[in-house]
Amino acid sequence: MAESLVMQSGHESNDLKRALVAVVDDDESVRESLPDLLNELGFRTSAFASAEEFLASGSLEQTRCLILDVAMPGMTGLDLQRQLNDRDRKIPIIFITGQKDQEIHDQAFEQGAVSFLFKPFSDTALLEALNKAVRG
Amino acid sequence: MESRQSDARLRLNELELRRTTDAIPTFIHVLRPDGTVLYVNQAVLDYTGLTLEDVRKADYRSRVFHPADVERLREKRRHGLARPLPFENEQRVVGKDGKYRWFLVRYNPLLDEQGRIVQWYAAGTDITERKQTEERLRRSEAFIAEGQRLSSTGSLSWKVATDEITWSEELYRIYEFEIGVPVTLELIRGRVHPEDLSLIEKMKMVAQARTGSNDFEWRWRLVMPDRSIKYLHAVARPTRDGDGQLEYIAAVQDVTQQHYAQAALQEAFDEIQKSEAKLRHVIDTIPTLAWCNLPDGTNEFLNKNWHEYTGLSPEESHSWGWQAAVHPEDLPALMDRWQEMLVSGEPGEIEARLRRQDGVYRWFLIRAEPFRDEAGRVVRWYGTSTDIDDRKRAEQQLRRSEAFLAEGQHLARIGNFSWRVATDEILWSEQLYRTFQFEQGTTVTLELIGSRVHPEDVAMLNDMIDQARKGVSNFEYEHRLLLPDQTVKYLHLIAHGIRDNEDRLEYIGAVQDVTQRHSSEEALAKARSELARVSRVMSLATLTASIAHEVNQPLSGIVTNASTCLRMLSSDPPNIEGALETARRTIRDGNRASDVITRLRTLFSKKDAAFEALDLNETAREVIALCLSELQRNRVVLRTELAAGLPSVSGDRVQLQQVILNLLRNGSEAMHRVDDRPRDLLVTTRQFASDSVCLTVKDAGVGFKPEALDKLFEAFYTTKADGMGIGLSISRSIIEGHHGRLWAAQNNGPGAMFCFSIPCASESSTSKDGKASAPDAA
Repeated sequence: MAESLVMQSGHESNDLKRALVAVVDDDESVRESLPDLLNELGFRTSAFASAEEFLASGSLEQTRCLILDVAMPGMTGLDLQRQLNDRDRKIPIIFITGQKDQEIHDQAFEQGAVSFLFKPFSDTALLEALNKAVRG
Repeated sequence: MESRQSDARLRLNELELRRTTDAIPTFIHVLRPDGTVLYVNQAVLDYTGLTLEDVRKADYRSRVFHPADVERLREKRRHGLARPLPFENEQRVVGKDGKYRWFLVRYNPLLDEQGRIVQWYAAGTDITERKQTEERLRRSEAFIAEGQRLSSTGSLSWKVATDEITWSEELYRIYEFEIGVPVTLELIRGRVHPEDLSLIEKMKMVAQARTGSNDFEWRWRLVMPDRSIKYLHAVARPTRDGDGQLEYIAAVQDVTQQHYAQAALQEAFDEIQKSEAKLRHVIDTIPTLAWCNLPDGTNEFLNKNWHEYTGLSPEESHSWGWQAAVHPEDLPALMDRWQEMLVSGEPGEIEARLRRQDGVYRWFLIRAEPFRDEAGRVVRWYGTSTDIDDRKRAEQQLRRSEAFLAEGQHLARIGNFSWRVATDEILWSEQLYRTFQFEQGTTVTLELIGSRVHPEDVAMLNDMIDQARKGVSNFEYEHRLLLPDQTVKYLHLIAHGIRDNEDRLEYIGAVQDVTQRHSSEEALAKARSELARVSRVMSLATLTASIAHEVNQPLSGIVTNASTCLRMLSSDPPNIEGALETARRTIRDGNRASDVITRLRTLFSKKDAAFEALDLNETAREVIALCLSELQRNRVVLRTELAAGLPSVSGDRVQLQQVILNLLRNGSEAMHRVDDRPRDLLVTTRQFASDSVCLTVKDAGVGFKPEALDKLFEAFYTTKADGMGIGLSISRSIIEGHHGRLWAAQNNGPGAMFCFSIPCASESSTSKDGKASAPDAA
């Protein structure tokens, strides 16, 4: 399964290589590890410690996919999702969280989330979510 | 010549006559045709005491006749003398003794050949005796008549052979026939009630047939002309008349009034019988078995209920037959008692089971009362047998429930007592003796109780007694006993006061041995405090989430790094440098996860919070010293303003340091991205209110939105990138476990501040149970 996904990503590598995946998480270890993995998978990445930082970065236009932490000080992941919806910026969002909260999970999908991953998640699960997000 | 001869003859005769007449005891008068006296004999002279001259005088008759007779006799004599026929008078003549006697005087004329009256001869016979007899008879007849009239009794004689019947006047009156009309059977039949006519014939036949001398009696009715009915009653006695013929003499009584009286009486009797029937009905329907026995103990009467209940017929229960209804086990005692009562003649009672007709035995209370005659002899025993089976059952039930109660009290270790305050009379139930370890039945006194009471509680007991004597209505105490074997018992006592009808105070109470409960309570309190500690730290869900969050952060990094590492190594050519870097990060995150686990273990593995008197300043300084290097690495400028001379607080050093550490890290993290101003962190301590001490950590970080204030203390608002804190929620739990408060507030300038206050250590708050009142809300 993982192999086929990798192959599939290889097939569409030209498009994907150019795609920018933004990681927004207040956890430093995520910002440190996840971009490396995304690079290995062939994506361009950019990491931000907060929603505010991401919004202020000016990279919204290029972002093809957003990997977003749910619980963050200040603006939360859901807050950011709402803001982007409000601005009509339809960036596919993959939520990542260390906390199982059905209410937040449901609300995220209601607001158009592509995927919802619980930490820790495997690279296969991440790739599957990315495929769904980028293809959509 | 002839007249001469006759004169001579007369003279001769006269002499002879005189001799003759003087000798006879009859009173003789010789009268001329006009009635004047010619001659009287010696008897007249002797009786009247008069001389012949006196007799020949014209006033002779008025001198000797009874004044009441003179006129009647003169008339009668004038009448009689006028005709040549004999006649007679009854008259009274006074004797020389002045007393009147009755005489029957017979007048006989002496006639010549031509039939002319020559002389009259009057002979007087003394009839006084006869006259008196007659008078008596007349009087007695009058009496009889009067008696007959009064008693409406007539009499009759009846010669059977000739049907010759004579009636007394009263009988005529009864029959309402004219007195004197000849009485015949036909006459009688005319009056007799048609229905009784045959009786008359019968009576006649019987009368004719009878030869004996026994009285016989008959009753019959008359129908009177006015259609009214008379009732007659006759008693007849046969006699023989002078000719030896059978004759009945009968008394016939008009018993109409008696008849009606009888009828009324009968009615009354009927009524009585009816009443008897009623009484009988009552006896038969009263809801009890009623009976009547003879003095020898045998049965005379049993009411209907008895027969219905037992199913025994009167024949079966007769005499001693009733014993069949008594339960065989109860019969001997019943018979003993019955004999006893028969001998003593005293009323009595006994309980016994009687067999119902369906074979079921039910308990009865059998009571008997003697009934005596005037002489005081017992003539009857009247008794009732009352069904007391239900009562009996209830009694058994009660006995059983009393036993149950006693058993229950024994099990529950509850004893009862009553205490009359005025007399100090104390009654204990068995259980109380057991509880106090006194021998059953020992006289209970307050002193005796005092000897068992725990020395430390004696004062309380005395106070309780004083209060009780003052008349408090209810009281409740817990005190301890110190028993001879030095074991301690905990007692819980509840009593309420009542007043008897003489207004004397009495307490009724229950005492429970709560020693076991007490021990259990201690154990429970321990368990509860542990549970409380854990639950105060956080709920299980929060705990799980918190652990998951703490651990998942590093795990997430580990998994991602490991994945990256693999990919780097498997790429062509392998990215060794990148792989090494990710492997290092994996190790680092693994250690971080391990740290988290260790911290959690230290927090939750503690059995008990170790409360002690703490100097909060010193406690805070230790934490600051521990994390100072980390703070400096994060370019945090820490300042302290610790108030001098603060009272010590009661708390667990490690837990409080955990909280302080958490607050310092939170503050530090909040200023993580603050570059435009100093990352100032200020720690202050001060007296808070009168009985608490407060510690504040104030940062200059990003702060929080006012609406987030409520969520601050939820688990995920605190742990940040380094994942070091265990969260404000845990901090708050710890502070609340110290009866303190933890709160947050926005600074006037940038940043926030977090404060907690905990009570000062006082004597009470340092006691082992750590009870202390929470401070007022800030």
